[in-house]
Amino acid sequence: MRLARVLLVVLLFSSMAAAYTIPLPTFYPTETYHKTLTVHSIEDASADKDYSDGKVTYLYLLHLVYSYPSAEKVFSKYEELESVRKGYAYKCRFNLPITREMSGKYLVMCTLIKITGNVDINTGTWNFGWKNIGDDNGVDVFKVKKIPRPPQPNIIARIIEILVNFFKSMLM
Amino acid sequence: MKAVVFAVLFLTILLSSVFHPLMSNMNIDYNKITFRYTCAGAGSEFSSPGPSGMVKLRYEVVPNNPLEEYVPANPETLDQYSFENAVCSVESVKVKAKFRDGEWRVVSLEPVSCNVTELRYECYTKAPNPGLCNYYFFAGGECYRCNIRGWIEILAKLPEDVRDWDVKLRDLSATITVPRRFQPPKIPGNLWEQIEFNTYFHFINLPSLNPALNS
Repeated sequence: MRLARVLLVVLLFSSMAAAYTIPLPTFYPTETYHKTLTVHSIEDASADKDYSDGKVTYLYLLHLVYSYPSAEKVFSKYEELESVRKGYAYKCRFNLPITREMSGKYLVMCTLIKITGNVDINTGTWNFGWKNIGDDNGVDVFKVKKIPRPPQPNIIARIIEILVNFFKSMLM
Repeated sequence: MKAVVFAVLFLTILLSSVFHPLMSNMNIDYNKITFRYTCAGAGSEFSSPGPSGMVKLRYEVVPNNPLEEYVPANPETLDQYSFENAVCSVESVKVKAKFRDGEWRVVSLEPVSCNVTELRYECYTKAPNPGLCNYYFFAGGECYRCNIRGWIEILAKLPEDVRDWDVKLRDLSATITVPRRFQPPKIPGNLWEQIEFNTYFHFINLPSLNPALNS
Protein backbone atom coordinates (compact mmCIF):
# COMPACT_ATOMS: atom_id res chain seq x y z
CA MET A 1 0.00 0.00 0.00
CA ARG A 2 2.79 2.36 0.98
CA LEU A 3 4.77 1.43 -2.15
CA ALA A 4 1.75 2.14 -4.28
CA ARG A 5 1.45 5.60 -2.74
CA VAL A 6 5.11 6.33 -3.42
CA LEU A 7 4.73 5.15 -7.01
CA LEU A 8 1.70 7.34 -7.41
CA VAL A 9 3.57 10.40 -6.15
CA VAL A 10 6.54 9.65 -8.46
CA LEU A 11 4.20 9.23 -11.42
CA LEU A 12 2.42 12.45 -10.55
CA PHE A 13 5.68 14.42 -10.34
CA SER A 14 7.12 12.94 -13.52
CA SER A 15 3.95 13.76 -15.43
CA MET A 16 4.09 17.29 -14.02
CA ALA A 17 7.71 17.64 -15.08
CA ALA A 18 6.89 16.44 -18.56
CA ALA A 19 4.03 18.86 -18.76
CA TYR A 20 6.15 21.74 -17.38
CA THR A 21 7.14 23.74 -20.41
CA ILE A 22 7.89 27.38 -20.75
CA PRO A 23 6.12 29.21 -23.53
CA LEU A 24 8.97 30.70 -25.51
CA PRO A 25 8.73 34.08 -27.20
CA THR A 26 8.16 33.32 -30.86
CA PHE A 27 9.25 35.36 -33.84
CA TYR A 28 8.62 35.19 -37.55
CA PRO A 29 10.93 36.25 -40.38
CA THR A 30 10.98 40.02 -40.98
CA GLU A 31 10.48 40.61 -37.25
CA THR A 32 13.34 41.70 -34.97
CA TYR A 33 14.34 40.16 -31.66
CA HIS A 34 14.91 42.99 -29.17
CA LYS A 35 16.26 42.11 -25.77
CA THR A 36 18.65 43.45 -23.15
CA LEU A 37 20.39 40.81 -21.05
CA THR A 38 22.27 41.55 -17.87
CA VAL A 39 25.34 39.75 -16.61
CA HIS A 40 27.25 40.37 -13.36
CA SER A 41 30.98 40.08 -13.00
CA ILE A 42 32.16 37.44 -10.54
CA GLU A 43 35.53 39.15 -10.03
CA ASP A 44 37.38 42.47 -10.25
CA ALA A 45 39.59 42.74 -13.31
CA SER A 46 41.39 45.40 -15.35
CA ALA A 47 42.57 45.36 -18.93
CA ASP A 48 46.34 45.53 -19.46
CA LYS A 49 47.21 46.25 -23.07
CA ASP A 50 50.85 47.19 -22.43
CA TYR A 51 52.55 44.20 -23.97
CA SER A 52 56.09 45.45 -23.35
CA ASP A 53 56.35 43.45 -20.12
CA GLY A 54 55.32 40.28 -21.95
CA LYS A 55 51.85 40.11 -20.37
CA VAL A 56 48.43 41.31 -21.50
CA THR A 57 44.85 41.10 -20.26
CA TYR A 58 41.80 41.85 -22.35
CA LEU A 59 38.21 42.07 -21.11
CA TYR A 60 35.19 41.58 -23.33
CA LEU A 61 31.44 41.64 -22.98
CA LEU A 62 30.45 38.82 -25.28
CA HIS A 63 27.12 38.94 -27.13
CA LEU A 64 26.34 35.58 -28.68
CA VAL A 65 23.42 33.91 -30.46
CA TYR A 66 23.48 30.23 -31.37
CA SER A 67 20.85 27.94 -32.79
CA TYR A 68 19.79 25.03 -30.59
CA PRO A 69 20.44 22.11 -30.82
CA SER A 70 22.31 22.47 -34.12
CA ALA A 71 24.91 24.80 -32.47
CA GLU A 72 25.29 27.13 -35.42
CA LYS A 73 26.50 30.63 -34.70
CA VAL A 74 24.04 33.30 -35.77
CA PHE A 75 25.61 36.36 -34.21
CA SER A 76 28.60 37.32 -32.08
CA LYS A 77 29.96 40.64 -30.88
CA TYR A 78 32.83 41.43 -28.52
CA GLU A 79 32.56 44.73 -26.68
CA GLU A 80 35.94 45.60 -25.19
CA LEU A 81 35.98 46.81 -21.57
CA GLU A 82 38.70 48.58 -19.62
CA SER A 83 37.75 47.13 -16.24
CA VAL A 84 35.02 45.17 -14.47
CA ARG A 85 33.96 45.22 -10.86
CA LYS A 86 32.74 42.21 -8.94
CA GLY A 87 28.94 42.23 -8.63
CA TYR A 88 28.42 45.05 -11.13
CA ALA A 89 25.86 44.61 -13.90
CA TYR A 90 26.85 44.76 -17.58
CA LYS A 91 24.23 44.87 -20.29
CA CYS A 92 24.12 43.29 -23.73
CA ARG A 93 21.56 44.83 -26.08
CA PHE A 94 20.41 42.56 -28.86
CA ASN A 95 18.54 43.75 -31.97
CA LEU A 96 18.57 40.69 -34.12
CA PRO A 97 16.63 40.70 -37.41
CA ILE A 98 14.95 37.34 -37.95
CA THR A 99 15.79 36.06 -41.40
CA ARG A 100 13.90 33.61 -43.60
CA GLU A 101 16.65 31.04 -43.12
CA MET A 102 16.08 30.92 -39.36
CA SER A 103 13.89 28.31 -37.78
CA GLY A 104 13.69 26.53 -34.42
CA LYS A 105 15.14 27.53 -31.07
CA TYR A 106 17.88 30.09 -30.46
CA LEU A 107 20.03 30.64 -27.43
CA VAL A 108 20.95 34.26 -26.68
CA MET A 109 23.94 34.68 -24.38
CA CYS A 110 25.65 37.59 -22.67
CA THR A 111 28.77 37.01 -20.62
CA LEU A 112 32.10 38.50 -19.55
CA ILE A 113 35.34 37.06 -20.87
CA LYS A 114 38.85 37.65 -19.58
CA ILE A 115 41.67 36.79 -21.99
CA THR A 116 45.22 36.70 -20.68
CA GLY A 117 48.35 36.43 -22.80
CA ASN A 118 51.97 35.69 -21.91
CA VAL A 119 54.93 35.80 -24.22
CA ASP A 120 57.39 32.94 -24.38
CA ILE A 121 60.64 34.89 -24.54
CA ASN A 122 62.52 31.98 -26.04
CA THR A 123 60.31 31.76 -29.11
CA GLY A 124 58.61 35.17 -29.13
CA THR A 125 55.18 33.56 -29.37
CA TRP A 126 52.21 34.65 -27.32
CA ASN A 127 50.17 32.06 -25.47
CA PHE A 128 46.61 32.93 -24.56
CA GLY A 129 44.16 31.59 -22.05
CA TRP A 130 40.64 32.71 -21.24
CA LYS A 131 38.13 32.58 -18.45
CA ASN A 132 34.43 33.25 -18.15
CA ILE A 133 34.01 35.87 -15.41
CA GLY A 134 30.27 36.44 -15.82
CA ASP A 135 27.47 34.85 -13.84
CA ASP A 136 24.83 32.67 -15.54
CA ASN A 137 22.04 35.25 -15.69
CA GLY A 138 22.71 36.62 -19.15
CA VAL A 139 20.79 34.06 -21.18
CA ASP A 140 17.52 33.87 -23.11
CA VAL A 141 15.84 31.43 -25.46
CA PHE A 142 13.47 32.29 -28.29
CA LYS A 143 11.78 30.41 -31.06
CA VAL A 144 11.46 31.19 -34.74
CA LYS A 145 8.58 29.88 -36.78
CA LYS A 146 8.37 29.85 -40.52
CA ILE A 147 5.50 31.89 -41.96
CA PRO A 148 2.76 29.35 -42.74
CA ARG A 149 1.99 28.65 -46.35
CA PRO A 150 -1.12 30.46 -47.63
CA PRO A 151 -4.12 28.17 -48.17
CA GLN A 152 -4.26 26.63 -51.66
CA PRO A 153 -7.35 27.57 -53.64
CA ASN A 154 -9.73 24.57 -53.91
CA ILE A 155 -9.81 24.01 -57.68
CA ILE A 156 -12.67 21.46 -57.67
CA ALA A 157 -14.86 23.73 -55.60
CA ARG A 158 -14.01 26.58 -57.97
CA ILE A 159 -14.96 24.45 -61.03
CA ILE A 160 -18.26 23.42 -59.40
CA GLU A 161 -18.92 27.04 -58.61
CA ILE A 162 -18.28 28.04 -62.23
CA LEU A 163 -20.53 25.24 -63.50
CA VAL A 164 -23.32 26.12 -61.07
CA ASN A 165 -23.13 29.75 -62.13
CA PHE A 166 -23.17 28.68 -65.78
CA PHE A 167 -26.25 26.51 -65.34
CA LYS A 168 -27.95 29.18 -63.33
CA SER A 169 -27.41 31.64 -66.15
CA MET A 170 -28.76 29.08 -68.65
CA LEU A 171 -31.93 28.58 -66.63
CA MET A 172 -32.62 32.23 -66.19
CA MET B 1 115.90 42.98 -29.19
CA LYS B 2 113.44 40.35 -30.41
CA ALA B 3 112.14 39.97 -26.90
CA VAL B 4 111.49 43.73 -26.65
CA VAL B 5 109.63 43.81 -30.00
CA PHE B 6 107.63 40.78 -28.96
CA ALA B 7 106.81 42.37 -25.59
CA VAL B 8 105.71 45.62 -27.25
CA LEU B 9 103.52 43.71 -29.71
CA PHE B 10 102.06 41.58 -26.96
CA LEU B 11 101.29 44.63 -24.82
CA THR B 12 99.68 46.43 -27.78
CA ILE B 13 97.38 43.49 -28.45
CA LEU B 14 96.59 43.12 -24.77
CA LEU B 15 95.82 46.81 -24.28
CA SER B 16 93.69 47.06 -27.42
CA SER B 17 91.59 44.15 -26.19
CA VAL B 18 91.31 45.63 -22.72
CA PHE B 19 90.37 49.09 -23.98
CA HIS B 20 87.61 47.78 -26.12
CA PRO B 21 85.14 47.94 -23.32
CA LEU B 22 81.93 49.00 -24.99
CA MET B 23 81.48 46.09 -27.32
CA SER B 24 83.34 43.43 -25.46
CA ASN B 25 80.83 43.84 -22.62
CA MET B 26 77.81 43.75 -24.87
CA ASN B 27 75.26 41.00 -24.57
CA ILE B 28 72.31 40.54 -26.88
CA ASP B 29 69.54 38.45 -25.35
CA TYR B 30 66.11 37.80 -26.77
CA ASN B 31 64.40 40.25 -24.45
CA LYS B 32 67.14 42.84 -23.98
CA ILE B 33 70.55 44.16 -24.96
CA THR B 34 72.83 44.87 -22.04
CA PHE B 35 76.20 46.48 -22.16
CA ARG B 36 78.66 47.64 -19.62
CA TYR B 37 79.74 51.12 -20.54
CA THR B 38 83.14 52.11 -19.32
CA CYS B 39 84.41 54.44 -21.98
CA ALA B 40 83.02 57.91 -22.56
CA GLY B 41 83.39 60.00 -25.70
CA ALA B 42 85.47 63.15 -25.89
CA GLY B 43 82.29 65.21 -26.10
CA SER B 44 81.34 64.35 -22.52
CA GLU B 45 80.44 67.35 -20.36
CA PHE B 46 80.70 67.84 -16.63
CA SER B 47 78.88 70.58 -14.75
CA SER B 48 80.30 72.62 -11.89
CA PRO B 49 79.18 71.49 -8.47
CA GLY B 50 75.97 73.14 -7.26
CA PRO B 51 75.39 74.37 -3.70
CA SER B 52 74.51 70.86 -2.58
CA GLY B 53 77.66 69.42 -4.12
CA MET B 54 75.67 67.78 -6.92
CA VAL B 55 77.31 67.42 -10.29
CA LYS B 56 75.88 66.40 -13.63
CA LEU B 57 78.09 64.11 -15.67
CA ARG B 58 76.94 63.96 -19.27
CA TYR B 59 78.78 61.07 -20.85
CA GLU B 60 78.90 60.59 -24.56
CA VAL B 61 78.31 56.98 -25.56
CA VAL B 62 80.64 56.25 -28.44
CA PRO B 63 82.68 53.28 -29.57
CA ASN B 64 86.36 53.39 -28.87
CA ASN B 65 87.28 53.35 -32.49
CA PRO B 66 84.43 53.61 -34.98
CA LEU B 67 86.30 51.60 -37.56
CA GLU B 68 86.99 48.71 -35.26
CA GLU B 69 83.74 48.29 -33.37
CA TYR B 70 81.47 45.51 -34.49
CA VAL B 71 78.07 44.76 -33.11
CA PRO B 72 77.31 41.07 -33.49
CA ALA B 73 73.96 41.71 -35.16
CA ASN B 74 72.41 43.07 -38.31
CA PRO B 75 70.27 46.23 -38.64
CA GLU B 76 67.03 44.20 -38.62
CA THR B 77 68.04 42.54 -35.40
CA LEU B 78 68.88 45.82 -33.68
CA ASP B 79 65.64 47.36 -34.91
CA GLN B 80 63.77 44.83 -32.76
CA TYR B 81 65.04 46.59 -29.67
CA SER B 82 63.49 49.71 -28.20
CA PHE B 83 66.44 52.12 -27.98
CA GLU B 84 64.09 54.94 -26.98
CA ASN B 85 63.27 53.03 -23.78
CA ALA B 86 66.85 52.24 -22.79
CA VAL B 87 67.73 52.63 -19.11
CA CYS B 88 71.03 52.84 -17.30
CA SER B 89 72.40 52.15 -13.86
CA VAL B 90 75.71 53.25 -12.39
CA GLU B 91 78.12 50.89 -10.72
CA SER B 92 80.82 53.46 -10.02
CA VAL B 93 82.02 56.89 -11.03
CA LYS B 94 85.49 57.90 -10.02
CA VAL B 95 86.88 61.40 -10.16
CA LYS B 96 90.13 63.02 -9.18
CA ALA B 97 89.32 65.55 -6.48
CA LYS B 98 91.39 68.28 -4.84
CA PHE B 99 90.51 68.43 -1.17
CA ARG B 100 90.70 71.27 1.36
CA ASP B 101 94.16 70.07 2.38
CA GLY B 102 95.38 70.73 -1.18
CA GLU B 103 95.89 67.05 -1.97
CA TRP B 104 94.50 65.39 -5.14
CA ARG B 105 92.94 62.02 -4.47
CA VAL B 106 90.76 59.65 -6.54
CA VAL B 107 87.32 59.31 -4.96
CA SER B 108 84.20 57.39 -5.82
CA LEU B 109 81.12 59.52 -6.27
CA GLU B 110 77.78 58.64 -4.86
CA PRO B 111 75.49 58.30 -7.91
CA VAL B 112 71.98 59.71 -7.46
CA SER B 113 70.48 58.90 -10.83
CA CYS B 114 71.32 57.69 -14.30
CA ASN B 115 69.28 58.51 -17.38
CA VAL B 116 69.74 57.57 -21.01
CA THR B 117 68.94 60.82 -22.78
CA GLU B 118 69.62 59.55 -26.28
CA LEU B 119 70.63 56.20 -27.72
CA ARG B 120 70.70 54.98 -31.28
CA TYR B 121 72.50 52.49 -33.44
CA GLU B 122 74.12 53.11 -36.77
CA CYS B 123 74.98 50.28 -39.11
CA TYR B 124 77.27 50.70 -42.05
CA THR B 125 78.64 48.03 -44.38
CA LYS B 126 78.87 44.33 -43.81
CA ALA B 127 81.95 43.35 -41.94
CA PRO B 128 84.61 41.91 -44.24
CA ASN B 129 84.98 38.90 -42.03
CA PRO B 130 81.89 37.49 -40.31
CA GLY B 131 84.16 36.02 -37.69
CA LEU B 132 84.64 39.56 -36.33
CA CYS B 133 81.21 39.30 -34.76
CA ASN B 134 82.24 36.18 -32.87
CA TYR B 135 78.88 34.55 -33.45
CA TYR B 136 75.82 34.85 -35.59
CA PHE B 137 72.76 36.25 -33.92
CA PHE B 138 69.42 34.75 -34.93
CA ALA B 139 68.85 32.79 -38.10
CA GLY B 140 70.27 34.53 -41.11
CA GLY B 141 72.02 37.13 -38.97
CA GLU B 142 75.09 38.62 -40.51
CA CYS B 143 77.93 40.60 -39.12
CA TYR B 144 77.60 44.31 -39.72
CA ARG B 145 79.74 47.22 -38.82
CA CYS B 146 77.43 48.94 -36.34
CA ASN B 147 77.96 51.55 -33.66
CA ILE B 148 75.84 52.50 -30.72
CA ARG B 149 75.91 56.18 -29.90
CA GLY B 150 74.12 58.52 -27.56
CA TRP B 151 74.25 60.20 -24.20
CA ILE B 152 73.74 59.21 -20.61
CA GLU B 153 73.40 61.67 -17.75
CA ILE B 154 74.52 60.81 -14.26
CA LEU B 155 73.74 62.95 -11.25
CA ALA B 156 76.20 62.41 -8.45
CA LYS B 157 77.32 64.04 -5.23
CA LEU B 158 80.84 65.30 -4.58
CA PRO B 159 82.32 65.11 -1.07
CA GLU B 160 81.76 68.38 0.78
CA ASP B 161 85.43 69.31 1.26
CA VAL B 162 86.33 69.06 -2.44
CA ARG B 163 87.72 72.31 -3.81
CA ASP B 164 88.44 71.22 -7.39
CA TRP B 165 87.88 68.13 -9.44
CA ASP B 166 88.87 66.41 -12.62
CA VAL B 167 87.13 63.60 -14.44
CA LYS B 168 88.82 60.93 -16.48
CA LEU B 169 86.58 59.53 -19.19
CA ARG B 170 87.39 55.93 -18.45
CA ASP B 171 86.72 56.12 -14.73
CA LEU B 172 83.13 55.11 -15.12
CA SER B 173 81.20 51.90 -14.91
CA ALA B 174 77.56 51.92 -15.94
CA THR B 175 75.18 49.40 -17.45
CA ILE B 176 72.84 50.32 -20.28
CA THR B 177 69.87 48.05 -20.90
CA VAL B 178 67.84 48.22 -24.10
CA PRO B 179 64.54 46.31 -23.87
CA ARG B 180 63.14 44.33 -26.76
CA ARG B 181 60.39 45.91 -28.78
CA PHE B 182 57.65 43.30 -28.38
CA GLN B 183 55.16 42.94 -31.18
CA PRO B 184 51.61 43.60 -30.08
CA PRO B 185 50.02 40.21 -29.63
CA LYS B 186 47.19 39.07 -31.83
CA ILE B 187 44.54 36.82 -30.38
CA PRO B 188 44.35 33.77 -32.65
CA GLY B 189 41.10 33.12 -34.48
CA ASN B 190 40.69 29.64 -33.05
CA LEU B 191 40.60 31.12 -29.53
CA TRP B 192 37.48 33.14 -30.40
CA GLU B 193 35.85 29.98 -31.78
CA GLN B 194 36.79 28.09 -28.64
CA ILE B 195 35.35 30.83 -26.42
CA GLU B 196 32.07 30.93 -28.33
CA PHE B 197 31.63 27.18 -28.48
CA ASN B 198 32.48 26.66 -24.82
CA THR B 199 30.16 29.49 -23.80
CA TYR B 200 27.34 27.86 -25.77
CA PHE B 201 27.95 24.49 -24.09
CA HIS B 202 28.22 26.12 -20.71
CA PHE B 203 24.78 27.69 -21.06
CA ILE B 204 22.98 24.71 -22.59
CA ASN B 205 24.15 22.59 -19.66
CA LEU B 206 22.63 24.91 -17.10
CA PRO B 207 19.83 23.01 -15.30
CA SER B 208 17.80 26.22 -15.10
CA LEU B 209 17.69 26.39 -18.87
CA ASN B 210 16.44 22.84 -19.41
CA PRO B 211 12.71 23.63 -19.34
CA ALA B 212 13.13 26.35 -21.95
CA LEU B 213 15.33 24.28 -24.22
CA ASN B 214 13.13 21.19 -23.98
CA SER B 215 9.82 22.94 -24.37
